[in-house]
Amino acid sequence: MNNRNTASYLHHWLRFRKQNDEQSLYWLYHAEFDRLYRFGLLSTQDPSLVKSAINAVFVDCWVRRAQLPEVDNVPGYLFVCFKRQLFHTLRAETNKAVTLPGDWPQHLAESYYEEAVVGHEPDDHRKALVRKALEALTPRQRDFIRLRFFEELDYEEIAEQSNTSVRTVYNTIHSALNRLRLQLGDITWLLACLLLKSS
Amino acid sequence: MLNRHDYSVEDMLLDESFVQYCLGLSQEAEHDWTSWLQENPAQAANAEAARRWLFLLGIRPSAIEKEVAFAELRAAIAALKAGTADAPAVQKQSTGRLVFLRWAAGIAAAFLLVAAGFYWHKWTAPAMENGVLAYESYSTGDGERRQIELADGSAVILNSNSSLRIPSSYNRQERPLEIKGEAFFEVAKDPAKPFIVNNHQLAVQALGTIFKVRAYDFEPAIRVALMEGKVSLHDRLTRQAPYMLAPGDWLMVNKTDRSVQRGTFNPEDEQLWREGRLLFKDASLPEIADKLQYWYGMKVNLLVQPAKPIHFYGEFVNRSLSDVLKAIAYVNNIRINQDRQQITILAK
Repeated sequence: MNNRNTASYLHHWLRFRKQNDEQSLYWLYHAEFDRLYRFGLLSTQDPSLVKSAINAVFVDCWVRRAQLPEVDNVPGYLFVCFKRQLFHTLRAETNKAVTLPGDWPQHLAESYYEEAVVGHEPDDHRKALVRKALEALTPRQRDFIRLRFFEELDYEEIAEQSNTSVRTVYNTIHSALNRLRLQLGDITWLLACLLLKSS
Repeated sequence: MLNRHDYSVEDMLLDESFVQYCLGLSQEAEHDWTSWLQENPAQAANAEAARRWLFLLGIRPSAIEKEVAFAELRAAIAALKAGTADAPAVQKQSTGRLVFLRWAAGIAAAFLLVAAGFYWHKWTAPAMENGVLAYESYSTGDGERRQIELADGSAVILNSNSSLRIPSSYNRQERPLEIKGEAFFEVAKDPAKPFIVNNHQLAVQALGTIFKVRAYDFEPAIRVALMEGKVSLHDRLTRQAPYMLAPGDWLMVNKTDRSVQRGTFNPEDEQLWREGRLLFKDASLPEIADKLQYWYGMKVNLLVQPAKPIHFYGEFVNRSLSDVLKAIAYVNNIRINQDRQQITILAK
């Protein structure tokens, strides 16, 4: 397990710029990939566009390593680079103005989250099933699911934000998960998991 | 440790330490859960289901997706270091061209669809039922194959990762179908009702024939192969005269520039495909990759260069995808992963 604290970010940020060590760049890539991917999907439903934008950011960092600034907040800097890259990619792709969620990532409209969850699914069939399952939840259930699993808040934070008790948050998420499982089932995943394990 | 023996999938997902274990955020959680799962193997399926939910709801890419993206990054940087690519220029130029092609294809599609709209209206319109689109659909997942009998007695074999839509008006005046991925058609003779396979880019019209259409999103071209009878192909994006095929011919239309390639195939190979017999004769690794992609309609990423050449022999008759991949991986001492409609071949 790599220690992903501020010091190690700064260490690797310095190392790849000054010592041409691409392993440090790769460390940053692994540390940030998930976050960039997840927030990228809030802007487009095409995962391959998001992944190529992420790679473009890191290739660009490598090319411009001598000119890159010292920064205090490395993830923040990479995030801004990614946002800009994705914006250009999307604008070129659709050939028109694109609006990214304004205060990205803090104040997410709920609809962005739902679209992103659906966009992440591999095929149209799954997309339709997942959409239907999410729509079967109450707005409050969906909200808590998003806060817990996407925004990674803990139960206390969610309770505080929604003026309710930790117990209520917990129970709401439990029944939401239960409903999702009834709608969608785990079976197909179990098969996929067996396939993965045996290969 | 808490009493977790009767943990449900929901309980696991609500457990902070389980989340940390799945995301690799804490060594302690990792240790706890790994040993707990070893002691309670019956819970492995629940834990796997919970992990999948966590990734779905958190919109997290799978490990194999990341591995593929990372391999691409490494290759790009290796090329830069070797000086074989002047990176920013190459990068910009290639994305620029891609964007242009997509843009051009989009414009062309819009324009030609309008131009051809009247002509195609007849073929695509019957799916409207009281102003609502009415379809019956079938689809297949990774490694899955499906046989479908249509109302007029025609038969379809739907290959892995494909879908077929049948409008409710099928077999009234005509027999239109829509396909994504790959399917094999054995058409019942009925000269009065044209049998038409539509993809949004191409239409194949047939009269009492046996043929195959391959139109996967991840491949650059659409391919039609004719086993018996006659078919005509209409490119829906250009105003070309229809292409005709004779038995034993295949034809491919490039999705981007609409160029056409033709060739002939070995009828024995298609017979083997119909029978579900997957055969490797002295196959190298790239040949294995090609064949798997062809057979299963899944994008195959080849991320390993074998130390010594591979000569693989094997026959699989109606075996599951997992069995096939397992055997190939074992014999050739490589690792093969399968996830999200992709197969990835890696070093052991």
